[in-house]
Amino acid sequence: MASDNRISHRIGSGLGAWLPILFYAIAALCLMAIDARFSMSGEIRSRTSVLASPVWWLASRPQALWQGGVAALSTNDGLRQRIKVLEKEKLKTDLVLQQMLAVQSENTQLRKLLKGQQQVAPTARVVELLNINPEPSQKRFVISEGARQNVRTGQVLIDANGLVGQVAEVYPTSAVVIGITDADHAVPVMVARSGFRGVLFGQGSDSRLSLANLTPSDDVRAGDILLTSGIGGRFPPGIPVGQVKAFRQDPSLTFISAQVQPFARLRYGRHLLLLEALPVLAPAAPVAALQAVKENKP
Amino acid sequence: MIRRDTPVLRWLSMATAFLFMLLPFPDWLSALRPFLLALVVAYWVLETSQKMGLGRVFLIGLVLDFASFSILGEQALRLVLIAGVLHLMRSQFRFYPVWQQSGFLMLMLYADLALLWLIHLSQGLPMVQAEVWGSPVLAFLIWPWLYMLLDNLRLRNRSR
Repeated sequence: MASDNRISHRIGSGLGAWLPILFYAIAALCLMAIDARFSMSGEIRSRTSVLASPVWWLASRPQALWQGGVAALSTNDGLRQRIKVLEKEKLKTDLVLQQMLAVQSENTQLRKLLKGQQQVAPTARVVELLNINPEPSQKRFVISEGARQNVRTGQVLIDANGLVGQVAEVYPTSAVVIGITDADHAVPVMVARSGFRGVLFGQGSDSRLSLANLTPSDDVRAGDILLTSGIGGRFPPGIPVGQVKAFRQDPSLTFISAQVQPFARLRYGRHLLLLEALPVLAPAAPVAALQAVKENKP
Repeated sequence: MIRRDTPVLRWLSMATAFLFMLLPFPDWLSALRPFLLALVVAYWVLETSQKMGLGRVFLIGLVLDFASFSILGEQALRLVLIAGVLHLMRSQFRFYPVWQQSGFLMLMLYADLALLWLIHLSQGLPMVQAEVWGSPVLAFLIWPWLYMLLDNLRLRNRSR
């Protein structure tokens, strides 16, 4: 390298030339330390989001344009075929829905009989995803609705296949969603087959979640489907989350962790369903329910 | 020879590179994404060093920190170090053949990745993916074309 070629150095570019670099590097390090300790970037970001929102919007345009272009260029024939396929699928789902309705009414009746809680079906609305993904290790994304559209922190997002994440930061016209795959995220789940409960942690990877701290006697098998358990009150119960793929011994050799493939396809599609916040329910009273059963007996 | 300043081109090119850092890519490609903003900033530091002081570079880095959810100061530190070294080496660097410039920038981006890795390690963030170590190679391939493109645009602008 030519760094030892001191002739071409300008006047005054001795050690002193390093000072500004040092100054800014130390400033950056201080900022990082303060941010890590007090996580102030969220607060500052929420104040400057008016500026950041158009940037996010702009960054999501190329993909939107691409998808729009693909839609505009699809042929009449292709569209017709697609409609046919969708109609067939709708028939199938209609059938399932009919059965569901019957099951649901039966379920509400049973719950009434038991004087238990009424399960409130969450209502949802469609929100647009401003698809940006700057840091590969962070699974956060931005939706195009914010405080002005009544988005609240903690609201849950799903897609057609399963749980996506929850709203982490709300700005006036946009909100940041933390995905279930983010390394900072955890969801209380239960195994649909056995009812075993656990906590599912994100790993920072799109295709892998981890159900940690299992013991060999826990009733979890490969292929098991995990649903949200509703414990903690943040996620409504019964939302499909993922499927157990494989098991791995923890380094401590005491516990096993299960690797789980999430159902939600986080990298595809431009729309998500935002569930309205659930009303806070009083815990069920098992004693009262038992008495109710006795009273209702002939 | 006094070169006319081209602020519009400078800010436009940096804005484009900025958006490139935020574009949605699939996971594996996202890790390979070259640090294009650093390359564009490097070009303007080399060509118009008075207009690209470290203060401005620092601010650009902070804005990227905000927009990309990284820890505040991370991108600022990365950009300032690259721009700072180029500021110091500017007089020699500009006379390297372009492939040598590419090679030097690639080495610098590797050092930058090592720094990123350290930051992630110290903050307990998830480690950078293995594919990330391929991104400086892409930067190596991009730099000559980027240099040519920006030079062309700038000179055309000047001749008018």
